[in-house]
Amino acid sequence: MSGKPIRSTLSKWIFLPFLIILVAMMLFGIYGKKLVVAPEQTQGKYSATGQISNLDTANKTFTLTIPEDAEISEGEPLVWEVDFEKAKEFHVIVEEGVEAPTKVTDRHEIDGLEFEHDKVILEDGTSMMEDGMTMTVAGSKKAKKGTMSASVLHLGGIFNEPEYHQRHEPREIYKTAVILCIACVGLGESNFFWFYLILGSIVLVLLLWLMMRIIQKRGASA
Amino acid sequence: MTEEVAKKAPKKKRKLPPGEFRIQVRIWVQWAFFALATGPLFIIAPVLKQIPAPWYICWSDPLASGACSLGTIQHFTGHGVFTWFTIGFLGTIGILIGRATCGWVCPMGFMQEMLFKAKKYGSYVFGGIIFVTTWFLAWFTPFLAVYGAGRVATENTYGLGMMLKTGNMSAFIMWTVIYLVLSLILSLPFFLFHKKFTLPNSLATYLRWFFFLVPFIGFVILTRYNFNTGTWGIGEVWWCKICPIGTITAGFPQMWLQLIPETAFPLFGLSSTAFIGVSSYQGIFGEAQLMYFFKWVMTSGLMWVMINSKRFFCKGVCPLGTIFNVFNWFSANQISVDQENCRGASCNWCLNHCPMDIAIYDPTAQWHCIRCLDCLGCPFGVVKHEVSPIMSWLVKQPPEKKIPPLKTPNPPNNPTFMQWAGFVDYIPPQARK
Repeated sequence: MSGKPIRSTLSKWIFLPFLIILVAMMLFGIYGKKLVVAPEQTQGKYSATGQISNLDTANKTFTLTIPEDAEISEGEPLVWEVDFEKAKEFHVIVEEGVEAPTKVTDRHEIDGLEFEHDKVILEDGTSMMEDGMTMTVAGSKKAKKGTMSASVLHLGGIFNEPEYHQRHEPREIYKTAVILCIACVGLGESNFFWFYLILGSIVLVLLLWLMMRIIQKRGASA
Repeated sequence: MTEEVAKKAPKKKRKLPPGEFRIQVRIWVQWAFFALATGPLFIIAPVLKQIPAPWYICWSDPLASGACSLGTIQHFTGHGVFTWFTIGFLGTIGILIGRATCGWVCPMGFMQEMLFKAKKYGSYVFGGIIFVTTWFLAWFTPFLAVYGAGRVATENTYGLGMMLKTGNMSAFIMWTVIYLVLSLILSLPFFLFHKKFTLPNSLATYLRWFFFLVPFIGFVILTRYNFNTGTWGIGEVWWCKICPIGTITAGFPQMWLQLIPETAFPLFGLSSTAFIGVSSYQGIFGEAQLMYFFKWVMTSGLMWVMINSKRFFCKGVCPLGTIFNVFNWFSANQISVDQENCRGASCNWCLNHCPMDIAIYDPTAQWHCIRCLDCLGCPFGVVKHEVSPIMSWLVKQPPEKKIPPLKTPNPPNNPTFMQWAGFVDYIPPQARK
């Protein structure tokens, strides 16, 4: 064997411009973009469940009264003035059998009862609220004054949002993803059943074809 | 007399040839990374899962310590966002060391190598696991029962256990038979058929690009479009939904974890999300329905293929490998072959030792090379590890072997474009008869 190089000098250095570009991409990914893109309702903001009163749909405010037996931190007020002008999402919990205001997006069982969970765009949301209704509000708070600026609202008040998230969504928010998706586990019914069926069939046919090719020894290897 | 002398002589410790020694080292490195990727480091998963891992483990794996980079890419593609960081991160690794992470680090690659080496035992073990798991699903999930006639018979309850409890014996017997047939269909191939085979390079290329372009990219973008409103929304993470590695590392463990009471381990009781990434108890039995059945069947088939063919998934399916193997051509970590003096098919030491079942003297096989460096043990010394000068301090070159060159050097390689691209099999001159 002679000691002559097999690869040219150019081929030994060709990686360098690529490396520079890729490192720049990484840096842009870190500094040029906001990595934390978790939805607001899951960002660990304050949430409270109580009864609505003094609903003012014109100014988008109401008073939320938390039951006295509820577990709250020491010093927290039981009455909140809620300003929901900034609210971005509006969820409705509807018991099974009750007509949902919009298309049902989720269904689940709690303590033996089945509930439907509906996500509604806020523009129609105010029409569903009325005094005396139970509601969970998630948003930022000012504890001393007892005011809260809501970003997410829940009619029905069965869940607070983080709890909802823990039960029905994939639970954890990391910087690289908005949601850790339970789709990884392949659970749940899908809205794309026929897509899955077709893709599954294609994969099975491919595997069968592969097996036939191997059995017939028609394949060539390097 | 000579036997007695031989007995008295101190036994010399067998020294492995350099090629074999490197293979042993690689196996230990793979064990180490297996333990790191899906092992005790899950305790700090909330920190580690903030960066994508350059290996393939579902981040719903209860013991996963890193984020799945493919899941991340899928997710952002579904949102119509380009993942600058993840692509840059994977590309940087790829451009520096090519597919070496597949060969040295990836736990799934390691698992496949071990499965192939386990021969019949691997088949029997996995056949047993599949049989038992199918019955486990039968008792606890309605994943078949909610469809067809079973919907009426079971009233959407939870599997055979609930049928027995409610005294619905006719449904119980019917589904017992169905699940018995199903479990036999899924597991019998593992027990009966042991057919080792090679996945042809060209077929592997077609499969690889199909899985990369159709479910990994195409369907994710396609499902973003709402045909009713004509708007773009959030796409489905298609690959994740069919991912067999997700089924193996997350789906099965998550199902089996349902048997562990929440209070069994103090750790699981502590808002388990923060510690193990996914709750130990999500009540997901009822969620395992038809899609899970599809995944289960596909994964069983793929596992059979993995056992009978060297790194089948790495060679013909893995999208992470597809991303990395593009960089194989430009990376600073190269394997070079002295084509003129290679003995080719008359030797085939490299082909026999290659975990990807490729002959490194075939220049078009670069698409599949995982830079495991096993082929550097070439008895004729024609295979060389070449790195960029700035990385040369990392690599200790073995002493050059003094093997006489061939009297008639091989003619140069001259693949066509389609052969170079891997879509048509290429036979190098030294392998031609």
